[in-house]
Amino acid sequence: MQQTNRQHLNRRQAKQPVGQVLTIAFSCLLSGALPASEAPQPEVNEVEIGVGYVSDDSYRFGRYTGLKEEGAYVIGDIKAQKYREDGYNWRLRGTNLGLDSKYLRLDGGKQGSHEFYIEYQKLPNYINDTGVTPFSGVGSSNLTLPAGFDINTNLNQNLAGFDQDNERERYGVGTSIIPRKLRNWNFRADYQHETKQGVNAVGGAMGGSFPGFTSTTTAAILPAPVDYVTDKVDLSLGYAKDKTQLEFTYHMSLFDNQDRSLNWQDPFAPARLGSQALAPRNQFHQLTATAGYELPGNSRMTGVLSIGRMTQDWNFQPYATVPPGFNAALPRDSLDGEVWLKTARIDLTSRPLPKLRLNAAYRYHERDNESSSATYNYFIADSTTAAIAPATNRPLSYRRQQVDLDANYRASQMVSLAGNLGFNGTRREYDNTTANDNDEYTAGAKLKLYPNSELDAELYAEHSRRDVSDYTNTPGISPDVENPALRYYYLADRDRDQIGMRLSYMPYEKITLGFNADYSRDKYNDSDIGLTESKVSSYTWDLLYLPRSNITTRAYYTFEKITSDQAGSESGLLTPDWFAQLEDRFITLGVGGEIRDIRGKMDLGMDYVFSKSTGGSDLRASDTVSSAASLGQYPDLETILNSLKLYARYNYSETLALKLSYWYQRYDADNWALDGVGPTSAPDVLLLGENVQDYTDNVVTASVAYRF
Amino acid sequence: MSKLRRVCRVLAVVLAASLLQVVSAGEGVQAADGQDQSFPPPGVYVGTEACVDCHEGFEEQLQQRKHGQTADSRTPMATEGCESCHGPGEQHIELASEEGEGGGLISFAGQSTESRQRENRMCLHCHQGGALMHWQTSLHAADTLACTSCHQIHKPSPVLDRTTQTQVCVKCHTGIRADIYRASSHPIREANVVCSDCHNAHGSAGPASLKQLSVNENCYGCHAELRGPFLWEHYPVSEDCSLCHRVHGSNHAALLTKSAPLLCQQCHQDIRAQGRRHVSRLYDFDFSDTRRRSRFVLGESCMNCHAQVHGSNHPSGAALMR
Repeated sequence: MQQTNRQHLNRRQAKQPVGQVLTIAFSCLLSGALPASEAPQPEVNEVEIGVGYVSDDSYRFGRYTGLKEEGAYVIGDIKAQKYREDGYNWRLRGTNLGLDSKYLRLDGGKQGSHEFYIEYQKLPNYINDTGVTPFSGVGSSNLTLPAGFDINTNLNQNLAGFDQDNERERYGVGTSIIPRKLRNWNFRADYQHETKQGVNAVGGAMGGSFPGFTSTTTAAILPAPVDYVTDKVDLSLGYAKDKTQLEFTYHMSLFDNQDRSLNWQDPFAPARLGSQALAPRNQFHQLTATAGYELPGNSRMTGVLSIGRMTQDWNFQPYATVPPGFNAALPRDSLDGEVWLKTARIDLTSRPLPKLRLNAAYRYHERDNESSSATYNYFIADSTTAAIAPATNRPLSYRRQQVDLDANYRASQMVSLAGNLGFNGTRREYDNTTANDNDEYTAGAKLKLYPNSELDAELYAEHSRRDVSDYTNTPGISPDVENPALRYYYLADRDRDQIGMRLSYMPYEKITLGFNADYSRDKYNDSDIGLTESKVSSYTWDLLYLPRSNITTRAYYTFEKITSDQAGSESGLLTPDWFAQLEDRFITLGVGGEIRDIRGKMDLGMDYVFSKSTGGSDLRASDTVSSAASLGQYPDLETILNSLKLYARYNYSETLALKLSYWYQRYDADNWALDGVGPTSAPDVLLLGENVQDYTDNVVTASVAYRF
Repeated sequence: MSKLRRVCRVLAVVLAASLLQVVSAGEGVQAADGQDQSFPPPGVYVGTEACVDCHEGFEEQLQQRKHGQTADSRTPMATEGCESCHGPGEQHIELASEEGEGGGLISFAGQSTESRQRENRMCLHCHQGGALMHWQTSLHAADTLACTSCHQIHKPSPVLDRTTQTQVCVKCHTGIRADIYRASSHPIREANVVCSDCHNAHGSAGPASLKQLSVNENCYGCHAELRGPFLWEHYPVSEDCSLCHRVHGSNHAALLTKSAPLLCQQCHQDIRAQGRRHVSRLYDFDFSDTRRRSRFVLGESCMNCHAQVHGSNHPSGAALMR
């Protein structure tokens, strides 16, 4: 809740007797003169109960709602509140109470004194139910194979389906208190408890070398358990009076995983065992102080100071699940992981002149990783093969400073100009090795035009230049294990250009047209290998048409294209010998409308959305690569979504209404990585054999809404 | 470092000059719209009873909203009533009486930049603490957005309800409106995740008006299992989740900007030994060769083996396979 910054009102001018006479004499002439659109609309208490029916089973259709199975389900929604004259109130909101994706929240208390809330939310994520696996123990941290399992002879008869899904449940409580004698202060406390349970798919590799086995590296996609608990606490002390606002907050997040590791039998050699670490238990604590102050001359300053600490210290597993005699001693029992996050920010905004607005901001952010560093003589994927060279972990720390200056000048009623300058510098340290410092400078301008009351236009352009010093692909490791000509794109020198425009045109009061267009290009001029260029372009048309006061129609069309170019070197030479261009195209079309108050009783509505995404690739190789002659291009990655919603509401009386709706949705996808790919389609890898989950589904609902 | 020092010196001079200018300007500077900044605005106040004579229903409607709770001394209706927000009403009544039309007070119609600034000041007079502390420096304020662009006082406010909030935001953020229909997206259409779960539309100290101070801290709010810190870090993951993910929607699985192996090969071209050339090899769609390349492309591609892409806490996890 927000504490108001209420000045005690100065004594206002007393009502003038003349004013009172005018008010009384003429107010009656104006009663009822307001247009209907300006009339107030009271809050409505309403409970809705009904039933819906889903026509077909589809895991994907019900991914985030729970409507994954054919059949009926209960509709339950509630929105209600009550305010009493003494300030006590309660507010209740509940949605999808009959579904897996339900939400319920109750707020209450006395406004301006003490308030509380309790909240419950369930969030399903039904990912895929078409995968198959030979493992038993799905959902646990130990996956076993049937006795006598042989992937070459009896795999198919041992495959069984399983569901990839997870479900979150959140419980939240909170309170807000404004002390009676300290009206400018408020205290708030929030607590949230979340569990997340389910099964995810995780790859598990097995290294080739092992006593009694001579095979290459193999892998299997494994059903991995998800059993997380996260507790969060937020405490806040706020102050606001006159020109000053302060806030002190403490945030705590505790994450726990009920499974430390995932252990499995190698399906290619069941006598072998694999084990990988799952997400470790961790904590985060953060203190933040924020202040705001109104300066003279229509100016304001805000400042933030924050310090946070992330820790993790789970005991390590052994290097490998190998026979005795192969495993080496660990250099330490656990990481003793500790990362400090420090942030400072100051903003100054001012209107020194009526037409001029200035902004200046400075931000400092530091990630100081004080985790331990040691050398690990690790084994490759539970084999008996030691790594070619021991590996030393190098905790990453960085310091980032940002400066932003903005100016906005309203030259006239029709023209507004804005400009911005920015600096963003990052200094990185990988344990004791300093490398990959970069500085980025930005300059931009914006022009806004308001030629008349019907037309608004905006044009903007911005250029950024990022330079990197002391670039290295693998800091602290010599020789460089990556191609020296490679540049990590997020560190590399880069030129970024952005331009765009916005138009809003209202030729008549009932029609509004909008047009947005944006273009952005990142060019990595010094990157011979790696990402070399990426571009994003998009435009959107919007139409809003209100033919009558109770009819709304709208339509929109968005096109977006994302293109990226990258180069590689299969030969390992410094010059690239292959090139790939990926292009994602998106088309989104929406049409909708409502007719309200038909004969004072009925509302009708419709929403249709069409979305098509196409991901194409163009692979090219130079003549030096042997595969150049037989290069196969990937098929397009394509998804098409059609969604139509029709709804009607019939107000039987002031308190009772009947609601009907129909929802049609069709999803078609082509994904070459999944289409027709069975568990053994790839050599040496046991896949899940899942499919893309095309679906067509219909949902019909009928419900009664009662207002009270 | 010398460049940074120069920039900081420039900034210090600019800040000092601005402070000197605003401090010396003193009180009483005209606002951008030329209106006096005094609060409450000067004029003759006529009382709520005069307002509701013509504007029927507003008082009853406000009694069921926070602004109308007279038991809370901070609210508009507990102080000057309608005129707490709309300003003194005498001129409005005179205009209506003489010319039969409105005007003469703060209508919150947001007709011009100047009027939006003036209207926002009325709201900010009470609402400037807590989550609104950064409003004046926010992107929305820089675009001179009116509070009433998103908030309704005399009608139910869709932006305050999780089931309708996204529709308000995407009226302007049309790119997001399209992104949420991609093959892979957060459950924004279903209202399981809404804009205000991650963003503070009133401004914040974090990037892109995120509620937390960095992108990663924001993501860890729901994905705490990825926070670590891990023994073996995947450096871009530790820096910024959005380097690989497109959070509002993507055509590629798991909100990735592109699919593996090409996603990974943007940064990985290992040259250490012949056997490791699988990292830098061009993987095309021809699976007929004898090198069995399809295992690097089908299924989870690189993640068939390198599953711990967000970091590993296993002593043998240097290659993110454990």
